This record gives sequence, structure tokens and C-alpha cells, in this order.
Amino acid sequence: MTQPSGAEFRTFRDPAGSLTIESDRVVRRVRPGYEDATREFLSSKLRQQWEDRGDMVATTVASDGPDGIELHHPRIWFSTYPWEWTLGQWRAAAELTLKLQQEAIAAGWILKDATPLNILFRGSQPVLVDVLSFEKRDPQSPVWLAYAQFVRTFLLPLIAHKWLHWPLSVTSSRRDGFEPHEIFSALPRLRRFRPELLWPVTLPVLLEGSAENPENTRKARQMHRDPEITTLVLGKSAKGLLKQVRRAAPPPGETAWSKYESTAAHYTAAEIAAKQKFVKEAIATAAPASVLDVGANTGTYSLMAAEQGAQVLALEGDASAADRIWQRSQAAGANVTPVVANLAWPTPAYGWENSETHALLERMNKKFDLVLMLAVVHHLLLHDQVPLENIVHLIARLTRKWLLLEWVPLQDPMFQKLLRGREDLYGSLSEAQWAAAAAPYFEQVRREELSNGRVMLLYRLK
Amino acid sequence: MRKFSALFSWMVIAIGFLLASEKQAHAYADPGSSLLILQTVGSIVTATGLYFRRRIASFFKRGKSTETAAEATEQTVSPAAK
Repeated sequence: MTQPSGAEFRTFRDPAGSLTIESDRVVRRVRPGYEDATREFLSSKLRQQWEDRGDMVATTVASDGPDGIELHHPRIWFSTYPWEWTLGQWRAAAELTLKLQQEAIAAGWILKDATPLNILFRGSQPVLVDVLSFEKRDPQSPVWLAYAQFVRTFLLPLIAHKWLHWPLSVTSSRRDGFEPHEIFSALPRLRRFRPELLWPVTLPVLLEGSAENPENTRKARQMHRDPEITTLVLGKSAKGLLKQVRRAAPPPGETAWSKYESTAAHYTAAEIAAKQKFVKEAIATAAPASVLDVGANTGTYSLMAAEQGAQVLALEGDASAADRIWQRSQAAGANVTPVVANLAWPTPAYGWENSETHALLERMNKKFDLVLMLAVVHHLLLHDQVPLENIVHLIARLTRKWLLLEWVPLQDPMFQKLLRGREDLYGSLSEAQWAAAAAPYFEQVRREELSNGRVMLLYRLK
Repeated sequence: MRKFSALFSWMVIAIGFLLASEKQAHAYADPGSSLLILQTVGSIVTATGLYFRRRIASFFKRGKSTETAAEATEQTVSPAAK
């Protein structure tokens, strides 16, 4: 498996330009006919202000001549896709999109596409990465053509998550989001007329008959008004969407996983302190620039690594626990990016020819100086039935040098909980078997057994 | 009743006028159909609200300026009347 390279990845949907991802930068080529608009936007105060604030990715003009314009952007350390985001990330991405739309309207510009796929996260902060998303707006048009795209790709997934409990991860199968009728037909009849569902779901469905006439949509699209009114209308529509997003994505509820740390009965305070001391010292020894925390739970150790100067990717399968990571990372201003994903069933590549997004393992391949596997191996083994040798093989593909592991022994209550009567298969598992599986790839640097029987291990790649 | 029918006629004319004009748009994202019409409904509601706010504001302004003029006239006239 290789790192995503230019030859493998090139965008094609936007008629204004294409994008190529190279190992250390992102190259954007502006297509003929869009050069003047691009120059105007790049020289605008708005773009400069957004870059300074960190709301938009930085852009440098690499060349501007008869062959067209070539722009360069720095790479965001780790790309995550909307189907790997937590609820809080969805809300933050939607809020950023609408904030930029509001500011653009006031300055005479407009967002021409409004999809979560144009947002990446730098740590816990959303960043708009598509600089070709803006165009000068027609001062007499009160229509925001990307309004429907925003509703389909941002608002309706959030509404479906809140009212129908559809996981946000299902958006992986819907590049252009949901149509109102899909949500409408899944809603109980009376609920369809709740105020927060009436406007984005029920009214569009009731208007479908009228919308079937192409003449009506053509006329609606070509509306023409007094500039003062259009500014007011566009501003109100963005403000209304912001309100709807906040109602659809309230702060998350607690789950057993997000309560895990505070209720972890299998650990005494002294054992937690001993574990944290080992992890802190191991991170200091490894001095990693980049860390992957597998099964990060609510992010205690991810934040610890970030405090010691690393960029951290926190992988967590439970969306509520991952959202807690995002909240903690945001509150601390830490460089921790959560990913809602499962190492044993990782996100595949999607899109045209499976080449528009990258598989999670492809993005993670040899990306990290240190991989944290704290109390995870027994989950992969017992819950996902992955043999120890396969687990070690995968870790060796992810880390560039270090592995920090917490081994949960057979006698541990958490191991017993997952065993579920399969003693014949796993009942004789020992740390020695793990050590034998790890030996071909890793050398042990440090070992410490905690008083609850768990073992902390620091390894270096051979 | 006459006022209501005048208002209704104004709204019909305004909507007709708004839907009649044409402009080029360059965005490539699917603008939807029912959501697009919903957006135009929203914009008509907003524009109508703005129109009435302006009418009400101008009514009070006119009332205020008339009153001020009347007061001023009274003040000017009063001494002579006395």
C-alpha cells in the first residue's frame, strides 16, 4: 500500500478547477475561463481574513500565465471524511460553512457549493479547503444555488441522526446527502409537522408536485430583485439554516463508553496513576511528532500525547466517546483529531472508481511515530476474532517506530466479559503468546506490570 | 376589505415580476427542485415582510413629520392669534 499520490488522486467535478494531492502539498489547477474570478477572489480582503483566522486553507500562487493558474496549498496533516466525524464536528463544519457564507454575502460574494466534503479538520478546528468555492454574486439574485446542497448534505443527515437515529456514518453511501422525501417517509406522521421538520422536510415534499414542472424551477432559479432585498434574503436564509443546524445537532448524550473512564471499576486510583506515569514516560522516550491512539475512548491519552507536542489521531468506534474527544480537544486547543472508525472494519475508499476518497488504512499507512494500543488487543481478538499475528502485522504497517501497548490478561474482568463462553478458543491465552507474535516485528524496550495484572509494554520496530 | 384586496394584488404582481426576470448562474451543485422553490417562497416572505416594515415605518415617519409641521404652524400662528 502506498501513500496517496498525485497519479492516484485528482478531482474532476468542479468545472472551475482540479486538485492533485502530492506527498507534501496540494496542487490546484484553475481551468480556462475561471482565471479572472480566481484572481479576484485570491486578491480579496475576505480571503486574506479567512486565511489569517485559520478558517480557510492557505494558498500561494505558484504560476499565473498563458497556461493558466496553478495554486499550492499545504497539506492538512490527516484528512477525515464526514462519515468519520462526530456530531460536534458536523455542527462545527456546518457553522463554519454558514459563517463564511454570511460574510461572503456581505462582501458581494457567494458560496457556490456547500458540502461537508469541502471541510477538513486541523486538530479540532474545521477548515474550508476549497478556494474555488466562491464566486461574485449577482446583486439582483436572491437565490443561493447551493442552498439545497447544504440542506441535503449537512442539515438532513443531522435531522435524520436526531429524529431517526440514523448514524452519521451512513453518509458514506450518499455523496450528495439525503433528499427530503427519504426523511419524510421514515418519520412518524405526526412528527412530520413539528416546526423544526416542517420547513426542511415536509414543505419540500409538499412542493414536489409544483417542482416537477421544469418551468417553475427555471423561473425560481432566475429570480431577480432589488439588491438591498437580495442581501437581506440571503442573510436571513443563512441565519435560518444556522438555527436549524443547532436545533438538529444539540450537545451529545452520554453512553456507557463515554462514561467508561469515570466508572472503570477494574482500576484503582493508584493503578490509573501508575498507568498514566508509564504512558507519560514512554511518550517522553519516543518523543513522537505524530501519534495514533487506537480505541482512544474519551481521549485522555490522546490529550496527554498532544500536551507533549505530538499531532494525534484518536481512533474510536463509539461516536459519543469520540465526540467527547472532540469536545475535550477543542476546549484544550489540543492538536487531537478524532476519527469515528473501527480498526477491524476500517473505512473503505469511496467515489468514482473508488478513487475520490482514500481508505482509512491507506491514509494511516506509516503515518505515525508512535501507536498507542491501550487495552485494545483483547477487543480485536475476542470481539473481532482477529488473530494476534494479524494484529501485530497491521500495527507494524501503521507505526514508523514505536508501539505502546497495554496487555489485558485472561483473568481481567474486561477480558472475561468479552470471552462469552469461548474458553476452548481463548481460555489459555497468555502474554507469552503475544510476545511471540510481536517478536518478528518489535523489540521490547520497557515492561511494567500493574497491581491489577495488566501489563504496560513499550516496543520499538526492529 | 379594499385595502386587503389591494395588498393581495400587490403580492401577486410582485411575485409575477420576481419570477419573470432572468439571470445567469454558474454554480455546478445540484440546486434541487422543491428545495429551490422553497427557497423562493422564503425569499418572497422575507421581501414581503420588508415591504410592510418599510410601509409601516414610513407611515409613522409621515405621521411624525405632519405632527411636527402642525405643531410648528401652531407655534408660529399662536402669538399672532393672541
